[in-house]
Amino acid sequence: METSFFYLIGAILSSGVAMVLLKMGVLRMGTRETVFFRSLSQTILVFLVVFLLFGTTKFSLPYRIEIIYPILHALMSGIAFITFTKGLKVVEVSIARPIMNLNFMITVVLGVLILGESLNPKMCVGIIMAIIAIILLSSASKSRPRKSLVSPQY
Amino acid sequence: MSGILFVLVAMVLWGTGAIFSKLGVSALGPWSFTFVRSLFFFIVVVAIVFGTGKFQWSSKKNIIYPIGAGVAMGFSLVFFYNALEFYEVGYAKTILSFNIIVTVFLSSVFLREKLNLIKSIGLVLALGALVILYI
Repeated sequence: METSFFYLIGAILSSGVAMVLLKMGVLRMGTRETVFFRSLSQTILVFLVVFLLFGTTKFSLPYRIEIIYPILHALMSGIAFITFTKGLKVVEVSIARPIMNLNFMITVVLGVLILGESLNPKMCVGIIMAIIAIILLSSASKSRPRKSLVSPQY
Repeated sequence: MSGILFVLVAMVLWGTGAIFSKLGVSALGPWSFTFVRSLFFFIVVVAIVFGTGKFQWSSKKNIIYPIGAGVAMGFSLVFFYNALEFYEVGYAKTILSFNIIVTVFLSSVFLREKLNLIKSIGLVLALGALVILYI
């Protein structure tokens, strides 16, 4: 297995764990407080990792126009969180969650159209299987609590 | 109808935002991107949380869950943005969507959510898709 693929495995494992902890927090504390403390600890962790690995000597803020990309990404994630929360007030979680989890399809399409990324037959088969799997996995089971899970991803 | 629209808008925003992550990682490197993005995301979250309602910190002992979620998500961000240096964003985001496998499995263990036949089929399908996309 390529070393770089371990980054993706690490992302899958840690974000999967994060979702479960997030749900436990929402059930016990409420959405607003959970989101705040999750964001706070996430930010602190990221800062610690960046400074521990780079120190204050090698890391510097990128004062270039491209700094707009992470800012836009953060803004879009924040707005997505607001709209998703508003939607959850009306829409059942069993409907909202599969829709939310399929946002990667948008990324794939835009990646091809805007970034010129490739879409080979193997990728198409994998994506179709992923779509079906995510819909099945996102289906509500009768034993699940009815509280909503607000789980902004990235 | 408007509720579904909100969810669809959120879906489009999350999906589209990933394009900026690829552009940003390519231009700034994963560490600078992660740093700036996390900083601004926290500012946005604080504005939303404190600007749209009352903040009530009622249960101090359960704070371990959102903190744990934040730490795990922080590592996920670090891993994902480093992966974007090597992979196309469509491929990386598709692979990342399989975090639902971990979520469903852990939910069945810790939250006692039932793993019914439909979800089991979904798990097998997801693992199969992961293998196909890797090879």
